[in-house]
Formats: sequence, C-alpha cells, structure tokens
Amino acid sequence: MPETTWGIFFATLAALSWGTGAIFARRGMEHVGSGSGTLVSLIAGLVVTTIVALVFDSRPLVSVHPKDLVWLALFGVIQFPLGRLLNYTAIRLAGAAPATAILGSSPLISATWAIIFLGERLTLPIAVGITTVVAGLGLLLTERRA
Amino acid sequence: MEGQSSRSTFLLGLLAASLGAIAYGTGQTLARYVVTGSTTPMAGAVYGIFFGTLVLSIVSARQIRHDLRASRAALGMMGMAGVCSGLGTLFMFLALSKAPITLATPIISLYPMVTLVLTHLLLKRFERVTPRMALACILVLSGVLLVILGRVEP
Repeated sequence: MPETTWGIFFATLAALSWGTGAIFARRGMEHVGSGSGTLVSLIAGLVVTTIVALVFDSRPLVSVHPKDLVWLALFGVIQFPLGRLLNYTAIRLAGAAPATAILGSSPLISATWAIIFLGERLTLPIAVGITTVVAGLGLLLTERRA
Repeated sequence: MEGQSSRSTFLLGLLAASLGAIAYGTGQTLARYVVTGSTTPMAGAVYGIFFGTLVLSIVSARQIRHDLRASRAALGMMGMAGVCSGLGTLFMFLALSKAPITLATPIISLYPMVTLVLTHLLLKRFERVTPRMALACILVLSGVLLVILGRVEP
C-alpha cells in the first residue's frame, strides 16, 4: 500500500479515536468530577502512549534536550490539565456534540496566533473560514434549551 | 426557571469549550515549535502528557479521594476516553509522518462529525442532536477546513 494511503488510514483512525473518546467522556462525566475524570483519562493515555513509544522507538525518549523539556512542560500544562479539563467540563455542561464542535475549531486559534505572531498572511479562504466558524458558533449559542 | 438554569449551564459549557479551543490552539502552536527542533513527535506526546498528568495530580489531589469512590464503570469510561485520546494523538503523528499535512489535517479535523454521529446513535437517551445543532457543527467544521486549506503554502 502506498505511504499516502497509510497516512489517510491513520488520519481516519485519529478522527475515529478522538470522536469516540468524547462519547466515553460524556458517559463517564455523569458520575466523576471534571478534575478526577481528566486525571484518570490522562493516566490511561500516558500508559498507552508510553508503551507504544517504547515498542516502536525508545531512543528519542532519553535524548530530549533539557531546554526542550521546559517547552514540553509548558505545552503539557496548557494542552492537558487546562485544555482537556475545559474539554471535559464543556462536554459535561453542554453535551458531547456542541462542545466537540467548538473544541474542533482550535486550528482557527493556531491560525490566529500564526497571523499575529508569525506574520502569516490573512488569505481569502481563512477570512471566509473564520466567518463560517463564527456563523456556526452563533447558531450554537442561540440554540434553545428546554 | 429550570429552563433558564439549563440554558445557563449550556452557555457555560460553550464558554468552557471556547476556552478549551484557545488552550488547544495555543498548545498546538507550542508543540509545532518544539517538534521542529530535535524532539520527535512521539517523545513530545509522551513528555507533554507526563507533565500534564503531574501538574493535574498536584492540583486536584484533594478531590481525587472523593471522586475515586465513583462507580468503576464511570472510571472505566474515563479510562477509555483517555485511551482513545492517547491513540488519537499517536495516529495523528503517524498520519502526519506518512501523508502530506494538506491531506492528513483536514481528515483528522473531521472528528467532531464522528462525535455528532455517535451521539445521535448511542446517546439518544442522554443528549438530543437537533437539526440546528447539526447545521452549526457542519458550519464550524467547514470553516475549520477552509482555515486549514487557506494556510497551505502553494
């Protein structure tokens, strides 16, 4: 099978994994607090990723530059306790479908940072994309809940 | 009164989701900065989750004792959510190593649609997906795809 086909296969598996994870979180959060639920999920995720990393290639794990460790710690704090805690809190309060739709708009945030800090250009597709996301969020915000 | 409280909870959830999207977007920018150096994506994922787990363990230490009295089924569900998220991260790195980013990223960002369909199929008793909500999800997703494609260098 060509490399690109494998890439499409793995990308599909990633979407299926994340999409399914939100469903498990939605059910679990009915009985577990956001903080502990996030912690249990992080421990499970850490075990799985460490095993896979050790099986496939363990060398990069021991050769990380100390300076990179500082950045990885910052990344870890922003992405996991903060991002995932808010993710699971949102799923618990608003439901899996609308929360995941908004959380899925994170590429919009990284594009905004890239435009502000890295000097990337605001192209027409990006402008139209931002408008479309805002329209979708507007629909979600005005959704009537009984 | 109950309807108002339900709406406030819903809006609070959407606010948490928006802040979560900001955290994820910022984290992704940082991750890209780190893995373009000498650190591999796999090591980045492992250390990132490790530091995240460490900090959260310290912050939520008090609440954990109480929450661990929850049913094993609920804790199992959260464990499965974590396994799915961990596998999702690994599959994403594998996808990006095999296919061009222009192809892999739009496919990966379809995951809210997976949640939408699974919510409709499996969580009918707990959550209703209205046509308006489905349209909103499709709009957000289309916008995200446009932003991703708009960032691709010709």
